[in-house]
Amino acid sequence: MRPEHSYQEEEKLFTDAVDGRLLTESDAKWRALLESSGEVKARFDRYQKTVARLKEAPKPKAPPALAGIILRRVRRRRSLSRLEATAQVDYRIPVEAFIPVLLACAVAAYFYLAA
Amino acid sequence: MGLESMELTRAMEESDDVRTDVPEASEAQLVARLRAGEPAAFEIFVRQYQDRVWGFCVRMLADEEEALDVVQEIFVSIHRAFDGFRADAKLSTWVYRVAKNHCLNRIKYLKRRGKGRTREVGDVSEGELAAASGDVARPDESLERDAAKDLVHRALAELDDEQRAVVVLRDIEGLSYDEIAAVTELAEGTVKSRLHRARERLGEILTRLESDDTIKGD
Repeated sequence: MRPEHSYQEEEKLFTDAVDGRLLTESDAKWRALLESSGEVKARFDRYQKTVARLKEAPKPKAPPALAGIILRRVRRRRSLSRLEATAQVDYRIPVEAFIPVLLACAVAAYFYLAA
Repeated sequence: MGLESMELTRAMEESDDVRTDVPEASEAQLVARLRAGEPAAFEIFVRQYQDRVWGFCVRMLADEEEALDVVQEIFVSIHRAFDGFRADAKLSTWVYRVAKNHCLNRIKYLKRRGKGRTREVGDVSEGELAAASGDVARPDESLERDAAKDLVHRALAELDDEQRAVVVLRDIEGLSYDEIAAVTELAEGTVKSRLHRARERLGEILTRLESDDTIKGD
């Protein structure tokens, strides 16, 4: 007689089996499940093989110069941030001086373009 | 503190192998130095984590050129946001979370724009990638060459993005379930469920790819 099991139960057993965490009680249940159905056994064999292949897959190493690229980029960002902070300080010029200068530039540009 | 920092820096510089498991004390020291804003600490951090972040991004994006872009963005984001890092959280978990979010955002961007994206200012040139990898061949050609042999890589590329993330984190990067839950901000039960479905789906894809390759080989 084929033992009844839910998908959730099968999921838990598959995961525990692959993780090597089957307890004695689950172990007996697990063996019964595998022995009862060729389909379940075939599914588990494929499942186990998939996990094994994943664990054996070579881990790509970072390109040798990657760290240098990252650090240069971070340093560039840091310099830009400092530059922006400095520029903000420089922009604190009196409005009474800034607006007439701006107006003068606008007038000069107008006459230049008109000519 | 100064002497400990020098010893840590010297140890990291002398070590040729990047250790993937950082002892808790070293991680705490590194976090303290990063919080203090030491430039040397950030370099140590990059060298210590670059392999893991690179490997994760390559698997998620299935494209070394995209991975090169995204890995840089990840480390820049981390550098910018480090003040917000809670010291009670695990550094590696946080790094993977930032990496996962960047990868998923990039995947969405690429799907919206199509694979052949327009080059933007600041993009890494192919020459720079070749120089970075020390590989004369174009990275996509090199990847294509290996992909023929690497069925796992091809199968992962066909998986749903969220499923791919949990499979890579668990079965390739070796994170525990609670770490993956912290990275993905999902309940542990959901992680296990998603992982189980992903593994089953991956098994089907691998079977199909193997059978396709066998037919082509005949």
